[in-house]
Amino acid sequence: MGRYLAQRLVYGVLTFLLIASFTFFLMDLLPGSPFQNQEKLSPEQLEILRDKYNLNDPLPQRYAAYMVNLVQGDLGVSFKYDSRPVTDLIMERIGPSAQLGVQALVLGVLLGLVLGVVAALRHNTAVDYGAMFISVLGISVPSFVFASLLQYYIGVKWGVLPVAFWESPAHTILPTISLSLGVTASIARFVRTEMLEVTGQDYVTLAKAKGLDGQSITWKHMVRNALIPAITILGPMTAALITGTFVIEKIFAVPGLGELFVSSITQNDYTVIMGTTLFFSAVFILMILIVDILYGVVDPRIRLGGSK
Amino acid sequence: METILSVRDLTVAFHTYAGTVQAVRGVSFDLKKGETLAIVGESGSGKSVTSKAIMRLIPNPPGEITKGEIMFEGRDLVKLSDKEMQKVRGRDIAMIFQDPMTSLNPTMTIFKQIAEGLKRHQGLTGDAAKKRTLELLTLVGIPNPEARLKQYPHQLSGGMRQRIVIAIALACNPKVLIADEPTTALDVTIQAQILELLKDIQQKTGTAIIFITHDLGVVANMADRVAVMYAGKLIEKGTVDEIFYEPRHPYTWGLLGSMPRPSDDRSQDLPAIPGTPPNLLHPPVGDAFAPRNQYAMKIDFEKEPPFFPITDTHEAATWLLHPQAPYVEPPVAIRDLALKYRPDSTFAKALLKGGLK
Amino acid sequence: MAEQNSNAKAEQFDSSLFQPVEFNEQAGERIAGKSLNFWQDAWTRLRKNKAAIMSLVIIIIIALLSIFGPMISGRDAYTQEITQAKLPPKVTGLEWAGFDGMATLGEKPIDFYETKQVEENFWFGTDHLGRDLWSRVWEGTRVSLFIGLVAAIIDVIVGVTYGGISAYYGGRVDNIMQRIAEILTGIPNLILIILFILILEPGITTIILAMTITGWIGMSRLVRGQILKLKNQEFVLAARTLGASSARLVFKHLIPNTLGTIIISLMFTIPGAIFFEAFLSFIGLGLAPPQPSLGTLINEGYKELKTFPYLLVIPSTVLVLVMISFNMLADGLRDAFDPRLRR
Repeated sequence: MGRYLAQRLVYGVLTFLLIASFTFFLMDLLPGSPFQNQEKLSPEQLEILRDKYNLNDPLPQRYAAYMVNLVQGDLGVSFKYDSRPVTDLIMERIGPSAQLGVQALVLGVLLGLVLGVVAALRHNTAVDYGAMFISVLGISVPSFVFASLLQYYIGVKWGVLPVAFWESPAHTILPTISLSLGVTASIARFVRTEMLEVTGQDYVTLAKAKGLDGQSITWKHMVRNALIPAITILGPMTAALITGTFVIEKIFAVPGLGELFVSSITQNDYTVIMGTTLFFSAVFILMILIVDILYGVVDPRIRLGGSK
Repeated sequence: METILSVRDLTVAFHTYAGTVQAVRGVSFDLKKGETLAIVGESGSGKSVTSKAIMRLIPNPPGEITKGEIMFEGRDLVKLSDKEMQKVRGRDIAMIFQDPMTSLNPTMTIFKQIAEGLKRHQGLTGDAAKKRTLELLTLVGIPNPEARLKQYPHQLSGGMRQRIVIAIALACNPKVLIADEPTTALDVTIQAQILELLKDIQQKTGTAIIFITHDLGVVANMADRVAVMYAGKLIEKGTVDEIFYEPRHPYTWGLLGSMPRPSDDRSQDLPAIPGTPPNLLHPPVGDAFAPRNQYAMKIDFEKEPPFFPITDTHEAATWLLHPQAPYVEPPVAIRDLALKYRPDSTFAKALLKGGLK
Repeated sequence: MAEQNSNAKAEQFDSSLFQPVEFNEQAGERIAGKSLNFWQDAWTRLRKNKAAIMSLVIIIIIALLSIFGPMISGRDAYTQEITQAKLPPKVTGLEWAGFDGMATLGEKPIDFYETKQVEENFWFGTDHLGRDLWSRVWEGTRVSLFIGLVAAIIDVIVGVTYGGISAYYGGRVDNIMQRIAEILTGIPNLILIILFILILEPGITTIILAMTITGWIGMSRLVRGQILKLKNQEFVLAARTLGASSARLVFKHLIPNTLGTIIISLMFTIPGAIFFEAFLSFIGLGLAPPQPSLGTLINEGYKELKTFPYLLVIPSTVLVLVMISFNMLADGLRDAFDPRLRR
């Protein structure tokens, strides 16, 4: 387990450094300059600006400086937001995104679990078909379409909940629901498949042969074993959530990281793009690491080592 | 001796994409207190389904007990509600499965898996459960039982795991133990140990055992009585001696003939039963074994043979036992067996006279 | 063990019935029931899955409409006609279903066809530049389907090659190739895609390229896993023992047995790619106007949502239909190919 963890950790750090370098060189290839949009800058003024942000240094030198700063947690300053440090910008925006992400994850996982388990227990009945239809719908309806419709009907037309902005808990309801749809659907499908897989296992038959009642068999023998593999999709789930925040935050005008990322792209704000990219990557890598650890903790076959 | 379990006309069908498969077609047998009954047959003959049907463990859908009764202590298990059946399983009738690698829950400790049944049927918890679990582990011959309690299945070898499965089955002193090919997945040396263990346990606890196997060799050492199964039906039943030394059904002859013996002449090929078992999606008319039977008569393809009694304990379902049937000579291997080990039996005498009637 | 049915012994039969039958060794070898090969078997099972078949039909209809749709209405997807801008959908006979040419501006619904004095009907209405939405939706669907299909096919080609080589050679090659793939999967693919789109010219090719940069990894893993599993199975070992060449092994045994996995994954990749295109277009990184795709249409529609919801609802419905159909078909195929469900 210790060796396994160390290996995972090394991979995580390696991946992160790779992404950092990759992002840096990609940014260098980007067409357009961050100052292009500024009206009528004279070549001299532009030169001053470029100098100020060290854009005239040779590439290797800039790369070295960038990596050194990165290790120190310094992501540079924004070209657009009055030279504010990117780290500050991210810190400022992280709150709403984190809240939105966690709320959506919790809601999605719980709902998905219930749907998946119930569907599998009632395999090939109307309940199963209903749950699976909901989950196919959840996977097939893009979050931005779902969010737009929720916003239009519940927010605008019926006026039940706030249309946009991030002010009170009520404001978080629609974005959370929109973001959790995909999570619910994926978890439900995955859990159902795993549950059905487990249903045919010999140890479930043995549990029945012991004379256990349906409840004990379901919870102690089936759900537990079905959920272990389900942990693995929490990694990809995080990626999907990050993707989701880009559009959901745009639609509901949530002052979060996703919104910052999307707007910095349209404004060619290189350092912010780089900074947020790295931040998202770090979150993703960390989540995968957590999933690996969690998997080890829950599955005795990994925790205690040994074959199979 | 007192009959403890009585199966009558048990019929199990599986509804599949391709149609309905008649996996078990009217099986009847009795199990007496403390005895070992072996059900022998090749794969697909329905022996495993029969054993699962007794435990009511046939997954439904697609499986279903369509007919018959399973009488146990005055109750028909087929008619019990799920709740009532749960009380029978593990407490009165317990089961050992084929593959110890997959029949234990990988995420539960050995102790919990054994204690589950104890808690459910005997209300044992805490120290009492632990004490009983240790007793069981000792009974099934697990060294250092105390250390095993907290271990997980993947930390044990296949043979050890099968001992755990047996301990689970024995937890509540069941009156009937169904062993569904308990040694098939194990190494030969481990097989012998497990068989020894089962015999030993039966002597200590007096439980009746239904022993499902495809291996006649195992049967000779284990069973009191043998029932041979083919294509979802029993075709011959008798004491172990009767089946080995006075077999009457051509299929039993085939099975015995294809069993290797140390005394065999090595230069000769081991005889095999030609052909494959019938597809039970469309069970054949008449005797299901007829197409593979070199002694087949016209009637075998038209009418299903009933059981013809031979002795009080022995009967076989073959038209060869009908008074109108011609004399036949069983294969040499059967003749040799009978003459060598039971030269005084009527069977052997009949063989010497030139044929069986 | 005296059974009840032993009383049959007295029964008498015609003695001819007890004539021995000539024994035919082959008779018992005959296989009852017709045997189906893998594809026939899968097709039989797929056919019984109503949802999957309906999805297939919907996909075919949508694909046909995406090719012939603009021809049916006879209008060009790009011609602007400002005098006919923002006309809600109107279909004679379907007024009850909302296709009545009405939209609510301010207080009460207005018939836009009357106020703008337009005689002809636009089935799906027109957009803010007066372009026919029917033609634009189908044109956009074609672009989306094209992107999805091409991206999925590239994923399959790269993934099968990579996974196949990795698994077939095994050992060090496999080790190195898998470490590379492992690091690549650690990168959130969307961010990579966005960065790629930023440095390349926006357009269909860029989107496809960007999506396939990480898209093949999933496929390669599936193929590798499948081949590794097959490689050690008895029938492959048997073929090898019998002296089958590498090429024969790969083409006769390994590929056919992974095809099911590949097809299922392909069917799941297509809606994934279509979604990504729509997503990118929605955040403004997709296709450049005037080129329509389902994503750009939804993006344009979102801006007019409050007054002209049809601009969002119609392309969204088509997108959702395409996604659902592909997902359901893929599900059906998975069930049909999965040998564990073979009964």
